[in-house]
Amino acid sequence: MRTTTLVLALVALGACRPWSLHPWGADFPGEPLWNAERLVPALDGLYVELPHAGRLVRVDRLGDMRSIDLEGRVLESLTPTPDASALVAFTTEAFCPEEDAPCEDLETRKELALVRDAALVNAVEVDPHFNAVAFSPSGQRAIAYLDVNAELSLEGVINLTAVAVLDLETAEVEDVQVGFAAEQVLFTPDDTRAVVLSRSEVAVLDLTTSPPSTDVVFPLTLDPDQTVEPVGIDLTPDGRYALISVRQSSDLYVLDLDLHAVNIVSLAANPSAMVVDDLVDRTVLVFDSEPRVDLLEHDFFEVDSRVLDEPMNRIVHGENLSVLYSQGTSYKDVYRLDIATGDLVEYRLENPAIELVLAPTEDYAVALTRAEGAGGVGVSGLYDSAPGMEILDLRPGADDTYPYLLESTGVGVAFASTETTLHALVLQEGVDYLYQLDLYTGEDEEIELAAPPRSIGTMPDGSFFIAQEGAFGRISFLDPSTGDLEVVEGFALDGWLDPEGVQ
Amino acid sequence: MRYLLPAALLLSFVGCAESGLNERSDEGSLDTGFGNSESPDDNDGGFGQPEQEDDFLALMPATTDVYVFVANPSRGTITRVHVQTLAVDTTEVGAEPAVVITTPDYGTAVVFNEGDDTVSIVDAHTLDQRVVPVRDNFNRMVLSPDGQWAALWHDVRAEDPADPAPSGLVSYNEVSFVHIPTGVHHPMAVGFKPKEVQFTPDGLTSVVVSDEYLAVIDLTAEVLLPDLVQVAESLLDPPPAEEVVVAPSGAYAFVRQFGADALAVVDLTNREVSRIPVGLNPTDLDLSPDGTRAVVVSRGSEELYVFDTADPVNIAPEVLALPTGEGFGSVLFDPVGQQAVLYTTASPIPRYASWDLGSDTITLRSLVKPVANMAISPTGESMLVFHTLQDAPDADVTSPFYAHWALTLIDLTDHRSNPLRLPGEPIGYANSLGGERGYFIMEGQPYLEVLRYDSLLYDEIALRSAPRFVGVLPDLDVSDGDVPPAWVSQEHELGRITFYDADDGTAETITGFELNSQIED
Repeated sequence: MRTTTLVLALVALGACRPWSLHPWGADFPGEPLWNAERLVPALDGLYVELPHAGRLVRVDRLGDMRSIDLEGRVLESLTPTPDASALVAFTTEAFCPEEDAPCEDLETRKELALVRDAALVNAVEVDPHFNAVAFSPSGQRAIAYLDVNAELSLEGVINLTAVAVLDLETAEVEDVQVGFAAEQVLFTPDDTRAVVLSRSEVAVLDLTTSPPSTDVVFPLTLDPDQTVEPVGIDLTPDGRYALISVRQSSDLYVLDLDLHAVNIVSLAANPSAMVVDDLVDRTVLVFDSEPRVDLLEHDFFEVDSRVLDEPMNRIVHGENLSVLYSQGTSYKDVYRLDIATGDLVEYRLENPAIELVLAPTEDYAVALTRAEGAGGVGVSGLYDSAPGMEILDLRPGADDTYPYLLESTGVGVAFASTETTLHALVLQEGVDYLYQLDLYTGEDEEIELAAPPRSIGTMPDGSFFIAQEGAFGRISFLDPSTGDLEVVEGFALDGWLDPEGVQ
Repeated sequence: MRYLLPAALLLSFVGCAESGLNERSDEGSLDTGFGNSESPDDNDGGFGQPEQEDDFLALMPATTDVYVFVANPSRGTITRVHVQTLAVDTTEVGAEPAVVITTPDYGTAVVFNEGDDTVSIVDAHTLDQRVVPVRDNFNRMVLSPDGQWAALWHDVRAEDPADPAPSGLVSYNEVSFVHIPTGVHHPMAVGFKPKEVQFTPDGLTSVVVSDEYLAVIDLTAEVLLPDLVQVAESLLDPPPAEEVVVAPSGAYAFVRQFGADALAVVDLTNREVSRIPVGLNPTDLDLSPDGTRAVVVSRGSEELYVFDTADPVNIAPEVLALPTGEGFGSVLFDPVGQQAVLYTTASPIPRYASWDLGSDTITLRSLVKPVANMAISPTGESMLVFHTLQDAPDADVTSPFYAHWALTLIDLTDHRSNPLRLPGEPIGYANSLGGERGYFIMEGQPYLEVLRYDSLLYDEIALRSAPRFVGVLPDLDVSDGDVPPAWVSQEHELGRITFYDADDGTAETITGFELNSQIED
């Protein structure tokens, strides 16, 4: 193991400061030094938010740490472009409203900053309430909007009827009027249109015009006293139809974006999850309150229903199959669904799932389960009392599960595969090692870490990154093919001790 | 669908669409079967109840070569469905559009807005429209065969008890004619309680039959005025006229009066009226499919009077005896003119008679229940008999049809049948244009019932909600061998319609098309 430490001695220095240096830094006043659970992998490295300093740093497995000069802006959030070649950051910046006059009252402005290759490329001002961004498939355009489910910082007069359309190549930004409280955006596959969900309305923006304009607005109700709140959206593979589910309703709106017509498909209940399969051209829907899965075809929008033993509320979708499971409930069934035929294979977990992850090869899935606390006896009692991990064999003809007891609750799973290996890497809460299991051979290994992990993810090159507890930043990069583990530390000190950052 | 689709109750059927069809049938013939509200003035003078021969179950299709139009009374909109793409557009018209009819050139949809007493003349392609106010309190509209004129009036037989009582002055003598190309409105007063409006085939003349008069209107005049022809012998308590048909030549109008013993034949050229005896209590008057014969069913004397429409005054009618004791009062021709059926809806008689038009042979045949309505497929090969809920007085209580709604499929070539017990009251039917299939819907039953006439078997297509109306799309290419889809509209606050393609057995449902009227392009 190779460890890259910026200034190990700073740990001792930090210990002399008037506040304690908790291993995780939770006792720092204000924001933590780094955010270990919102790391953003990109082609050129792993970007890490430094909330305390309001900065951004890029690290890589070779130990290179590069501070991104945001030119006085304070970072709020970070989102990668679809191809991971760049990132878009919401930032705030204080400025003097009158350049030549003494600056008595600073004002702030919000900007969307484009970051590429560890450098600020450009930035455009947006309305201060925008806090989310959606990208077109090509990554050329983005739309900034207000996500009321995300962190809000609302000040002053807010226009809740507009979104900002950005051209990421030219840095041009245009506000486009949509419906009230726009909060979800989806682009058509050809980049020419964007569908914006708002309260009781859906607006379709024409992105081929300059400036972008509203092409059509679909009402979702004719009753002004009725509020229809769209909550889920997807597009059919040809981009012609937008499928929109609404809160507390069994209606699925099908909007014909070409002919400008509305169709409503009556489902059995309010869907809890929806996935469009591009290959088979069907939509899969599951329901919290109904033990059934619906397959919606996209020609006549007729529903083919299959009865389940238990309700499902999550769909994990692969290229050739979907896996249905229930999260946050006591249900233990899992189903493998062949979308083309509607055939179901039922699996039974020992404990309820908290997360299920599909291997990239789609022949296995790993379910992380929680302790059930049902007080059983024998092996059942053992499983009931402990968190676990269960391997689901998804290969044709198979319906087996392989349960494992975990030392602590699983918090993340990542995969790496070669022609002969399929490694699952499992992260457990508060445990100082990674559990690596080859699903093909059953060979396992504990990979020791210097500190308990906080999150895990996969870099574009297939290697893993593991954020660990550490006040000044600690990330391990694991090459699953070789087992090499590289540790990068200390990057969170950027901006804390040295205003110029770690160059 | 019958050629002589009597639009009278049909339009009222459409008009009360949103208020529920149950209300109408409660006062109509289906639930009781007999003794409906068609009795003029509720004083039949001992002639018994009138026949309910109107094709009340069928919905008049509002179709063009490209589109189908459906009225949405509660929303003040009409919906246009593109036949090929099934694209749906909805546009606002006046209040409570009760009926929409398309012109023969397929260029215009004419909408009667019962709620605000207007007619919307809608361009079928662009949906641009002209709104024409008409006289108050009408409940019926028909179009002339050439689509040049719309006629509107108040038919007391089409009144719906659920409708609010009219306020202010109310007339029972008025008629409005609207010139469709220009939108010019010609209101006028005719006789008391107009019952029916007919047009000559050339579209140059219209006749309006009311209690005592036949109003003849020259449609070529700059200002339309009625020329009243007295059809009642006496204006003191006359037998009210009920029905009028016009000879294909346009030379004569035949007027049937309730409880009379003669048929009034009006020479439309010189306005002379000839009263030709037709036995006792004529209860039905129809033209044969080729228009050469006008047939009167005289229930009281149990006779058929067959007139030559070319010269009904000078050529004595042929008289045929009907089976005795059956009380037949209605006649229904097949569309190809090979045979007709005789039946009654005025008494719970579980029988009908087939009349071979070539040999004039009349054959009595039995049914499982009394008749509420009959319909013959376009090819004349099959017949639907809708039965009453009420049973015949001597009915077998152990019969599976006893106290149930029922329908009988009959092959008219050999009169084999397949009676079906129904879970609900039939509220609409339609036939495929080629005569291969029939479709019907029932009150509160979320199914489209498909009848295969070749085998007399049925299929049941599940719908997403209770049906309201059923119809068949126009056949855009009769040479392609494809059967045009059937459509069935259903209950849904934002509109729902299902298209059933009998060729492949698929059903496509479109819901929420009312929203289309508010889409901002």
